[in-house]
Amino acid sequence: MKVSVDWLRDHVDFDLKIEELSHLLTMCGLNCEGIEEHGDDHVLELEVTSNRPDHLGHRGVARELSCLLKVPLKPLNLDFETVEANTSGLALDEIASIVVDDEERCGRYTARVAEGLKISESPDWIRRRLEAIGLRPINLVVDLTNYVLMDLGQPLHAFDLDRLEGGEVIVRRAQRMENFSAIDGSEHELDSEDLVIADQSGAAALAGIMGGTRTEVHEGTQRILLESAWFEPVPVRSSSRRLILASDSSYRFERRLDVEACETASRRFMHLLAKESECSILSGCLEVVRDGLLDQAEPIAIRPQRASSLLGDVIPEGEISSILSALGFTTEGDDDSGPWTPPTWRVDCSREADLIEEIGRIRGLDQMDDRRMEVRAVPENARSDKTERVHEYLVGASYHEAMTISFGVAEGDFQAIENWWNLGEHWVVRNPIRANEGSLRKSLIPGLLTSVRGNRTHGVDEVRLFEVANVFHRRDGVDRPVEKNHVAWVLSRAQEEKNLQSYREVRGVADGILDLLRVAESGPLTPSWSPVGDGAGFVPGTTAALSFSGEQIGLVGRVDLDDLGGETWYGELDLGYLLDQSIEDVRFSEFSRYPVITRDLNFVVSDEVLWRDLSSEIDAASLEHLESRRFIDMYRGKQVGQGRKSMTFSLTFRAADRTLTHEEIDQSVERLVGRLGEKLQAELRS
Amino acid sequence: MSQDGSFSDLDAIEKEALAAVEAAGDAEALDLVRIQVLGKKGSLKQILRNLGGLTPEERPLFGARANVVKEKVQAALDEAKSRLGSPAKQGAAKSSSAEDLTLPGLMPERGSRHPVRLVMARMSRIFASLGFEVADGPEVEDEWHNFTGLNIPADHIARDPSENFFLTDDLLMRSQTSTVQVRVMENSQPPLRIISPGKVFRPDEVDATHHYMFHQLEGLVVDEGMTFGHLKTTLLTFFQQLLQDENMKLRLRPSFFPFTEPSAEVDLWWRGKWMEMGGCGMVDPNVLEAVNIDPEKYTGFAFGLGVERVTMASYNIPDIRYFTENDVRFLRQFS
Repeated sequence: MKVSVDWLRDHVDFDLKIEELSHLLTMCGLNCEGIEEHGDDHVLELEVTSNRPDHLGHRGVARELSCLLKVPLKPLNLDFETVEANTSGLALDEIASIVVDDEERCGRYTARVAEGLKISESPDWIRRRLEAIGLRPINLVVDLTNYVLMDLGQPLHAFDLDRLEGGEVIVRRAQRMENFSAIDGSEHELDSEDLVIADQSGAAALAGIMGGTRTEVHEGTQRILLESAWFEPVPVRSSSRRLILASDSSYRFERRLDVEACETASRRFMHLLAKESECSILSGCLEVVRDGLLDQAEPIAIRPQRASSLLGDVIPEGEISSILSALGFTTEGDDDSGPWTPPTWRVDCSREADLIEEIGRIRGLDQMDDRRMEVRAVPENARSDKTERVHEYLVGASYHEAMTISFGVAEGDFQAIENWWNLGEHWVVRNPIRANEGSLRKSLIPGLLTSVRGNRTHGVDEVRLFEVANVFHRRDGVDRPVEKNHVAWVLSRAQEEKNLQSYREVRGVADGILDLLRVAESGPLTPSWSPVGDGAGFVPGTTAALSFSGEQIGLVGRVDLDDLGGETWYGELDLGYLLDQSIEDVRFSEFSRYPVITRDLNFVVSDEVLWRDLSSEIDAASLEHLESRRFIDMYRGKQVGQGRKSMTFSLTFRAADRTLTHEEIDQSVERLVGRLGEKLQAELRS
Repeated sequence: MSQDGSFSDLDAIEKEALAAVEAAGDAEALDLVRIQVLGKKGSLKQILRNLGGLTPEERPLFGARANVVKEKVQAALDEAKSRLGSPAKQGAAKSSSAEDLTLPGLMPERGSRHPVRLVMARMSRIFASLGFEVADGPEVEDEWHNFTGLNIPADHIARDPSENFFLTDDLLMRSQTSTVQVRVMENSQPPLRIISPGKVFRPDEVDATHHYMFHQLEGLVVDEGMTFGHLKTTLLTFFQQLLQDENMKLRLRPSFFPFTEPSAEVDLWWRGKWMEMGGCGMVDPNVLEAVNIDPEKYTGFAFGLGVERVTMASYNIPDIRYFTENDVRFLRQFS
C-alpha cells in the first residue's frame, strides 16, 4: 500500500528522516519496498501482511508509529452539522430505507444521506494526496470516498439517491444471469453466489467490490446515499475471483475489516463533505446489523513470564501494558497480565500467543538475546549417503545432473517406456500450467529427452545427463500416489559408435550403480539382464531389462531421436528398490599373494549364443582357482563366417596358498573348452 | 666390534659396485652390475652364505650392514637408470629436437552436480553441523498435512484451488516443505531438530524469479525452553557459515504465517542489498496441539529457506529458468 508521509502527520507527530521512518516501519512488520518523492512529500510503498487489514489505511500505519515512538495518536474529527428534514420536509427514514436479505454475508449496513450538493472538483489538498498515492481525482464525492478509504481503511460507496429507484436499498443475492454494468466499464453476468446492493429495478452495486454505472454519482448529482458496510470476507473474495473484478474495496473486505469502522468512516466522510462543500446532511443513520456482530471480543490474559521465555527476552515490568495500551488494547486489570480486550480493528488477536507476538514485534524480534542450542550428534543416514554416492558416481562418469519438471508425459512412442514401469494410470493435476504438463510423471524420460533435444539442437555433439527424482505410481487399493525414487541417465551423440559401444557405456552405468550399492552380493539371486522384445518404446532389438528376485527394476535401450542424427541411449533404475537391497556392512576378505595366471580365450559361436550363455556356462564349470572372468570383445566378419561371431574373454587363475603351475591351468582350460563345445557348440580359435 | 675380514669384504663390494654403476654407459651395462652384485649368484648373496667366521652376536650386525649396502647399490642403480634408461631421455640426449611438452593434457571429461542440488547439499551439511537431521516427506500431500495441521483455516486464500496443484479434492502437490514438520511431529516426540529439503509446487507464472516447481529447505526444532533467541542464533550461525563471513548482516523482520507466531521474514544483506531468504517463527501452539504436543511444556521454532534464491545469489545466476532448461553449457559451469 502507498502511504504519504505528509498524510501520516495528520494522525501522529514525528520528526524522522525518511530512511529512519522506512526502517522503523519495516522492522515492525510493514516492509517498505520503495520510497518515491512527490513534491515536498514522500510516498512509501508498504507491504501489508494478510492478517493486518487495519494497516490498509494511513491511520492504522500511524497507530504503529505512535506506539513505536510513544507519541499519542491525534483524535479524529467526526463532527458535522445536520438537518432534521430535507427541503421537502422529509426525515431520513422517509427518504430511504434498508433491507438486508442476507445477514450471513452482510453483517452490517449503514447509510447516510446528503442533499443539495453541487458536484465539483476537490480542493487541492485532497487532489494532491490522492495523486501522491496513485489515485486519479474525479469529483469531490468520489474523491472523498477514496480519501476516507485510504485514510481509515474502510471502503465507502456513494449512490446517486435520485437514481436509486424507490429510495430502497436491498442487500440480496443476485439472480442467476442477472446483468450488472460496473463503473469501470466491465459487464458481468452474475449468479446466486454473488451479493448485490439493489434497488427496485435491479443490482446497483456488487457488494464490497464495485458500484454500478446506473446509480453512479455524476455531474448533475444533487443527493447521495453513502454506504458504509461490513461484508463477510470469503464471499467477496469468491465473487471477485470468479468475475475477475477486483478493487481497493474488495481487497480490504476480503481481509476482514473492523466492524466498528463503518460508523467512524461514514461520519468522517460527512465531516469532510460538510467542510469542503455546501450541502445538507440528514440527521441520523440508517443501519441494519446482524445480532452479535458488534459484541466485544473476549479479553485475553497474558503471562509475562511466558512472554519472556518464548521470546528469550527480559521484559521490564510495565512494558507489556505500555505496548498493548498504545496499540489500543484495554484492560480493567492493574498489571501487565490484563486480561486485555483487543480493539475491534485487531481481528488477528484472540490468544495469548497473539499478544506475545505484539510484544516481540514492537520490542524488535531482531533484538532478542543470542541463545545457543545444546550440541547434538546427527545420526548417520546410510541411505542418503548412498544416494549421494550414486550422484558422485554419475558425475565421475561424465554425466551432468539435470533437473526436470515433475509433470509430463513422454511424447508419442516413448510412452511405452513409461508404461513399461507398470505404474498404472497417470495421476493428473487439475490445473496444469502447460497443456502437456497435466500428469505426474511415471518415468524420468519425458524431461530428460526434452533436455537432450534442447542441447543437441544447440549444437552440443555429445550430451550426457542424469537425474535422481521421484516418479508417481497409481497402485490398486492405495488412494494416493506411491512415490518412487528413480535414477535415469541419457547419452546422446551426433556420431554413431560401432560395436554397441554406446549401449555398453549406458549399460555400464547401471552395472556400476549395482556394484556401488553392493546389490549383487546381498541376495540369493543376482540381478540379471535380459533382452526385451519389441514394443517397449525403444528401437526394436536394443532393449535390455534388469530384474532382481523377479522384480523388474531397470531398463536400458536406444530411443529413436533420429531426426537429431547420431544415437541416443537411455537407462533408468528404481533407485529406491536398489537402496532397499543394498547391504550395509563391508568386510575385508583375504586375497592371495601368489602369482596370477591369465588365459585369453577366443571362441567362435553361433550368433544366437549370448554372452550371458557363455558366462553362465563358465560359471557352471566351477573351474578350480578361477578368480575372475572378463569379456574382452566380440567380432563378426568374413573370417568367422556367416551367422557366427567370435567372442574373446579373459580368465584369471590364482590359488590362495601356492603358486599354480601352467600344467594344472591347462587342464582346467581344456575341461572348459570341452564343456563349451558340448553345450554351446563353441569352437576355440587358435 | 671386531674388524673381521667379512666386514671389510662388504665395504669392498660396496665400493666396487658403486664405481661400476658410475662407469656404466647404458642400461645393459647397468643390468650387468645388478646381476653381478644383487643377483641370485651375485657377490652380496655369496658373502651372506658364508658367515661361519662370525660370532652369533656379530651375525645380525653383519646382516644389517649387508642390507645397507644392498640399498645403497640399488639406489645408485635406480638413479643411474633414470639418468640413462628412459627412451625419451635418451632421445633428448641424442637429439636437439625435444618433444613438445606444452601440449595440453588429456583431461578426463567430468560431469557436474546441478547447482540447486549442490547448494541444497551444502545447506544440509551446515545444518547437520548444527545438529539437524534430515527428514523426508512425500511430494504429493493431503490437505491435512499441507494446510489444516499447519493452522491454515478452511477459508484461507492459500487453500484456493487456483493457488495449488490439486489432484483430487484432498490431494495436492505440496506447496511448502512445512508439511514434513507435521509428519515428523506426528511420528516422534520432542526433542526434535530436523531439516527437510525438497521440491514444492505452486502454479505461479514463470518469470526470472518465479517458477511453479522450486525447492525449499524447512527446519524445525521442538524442545523444552526454545525461544526466539534460539531461532535467531541458529539462522545467524547458518548464514555465517554459508557466506563464510562472521560479520554478515541478517535481520528478522516481523511478518505473518499461519503456522508460526511470532513470525518473521529472514532478510540477508548480500551483494549490496537486503534479500528475502525465507520465513521463520515460533511454532504456533495450534500446530503443536494438532499433533498432541503440549505447547505449555514444549516450544519450538521453524524456518523455511528458498534454495533457488540462495543458489542464484551464490553463483550470480540472473534467471531461475536456467535451472530447468538443463543446457549443458549452463550445467558444466558447476562441475
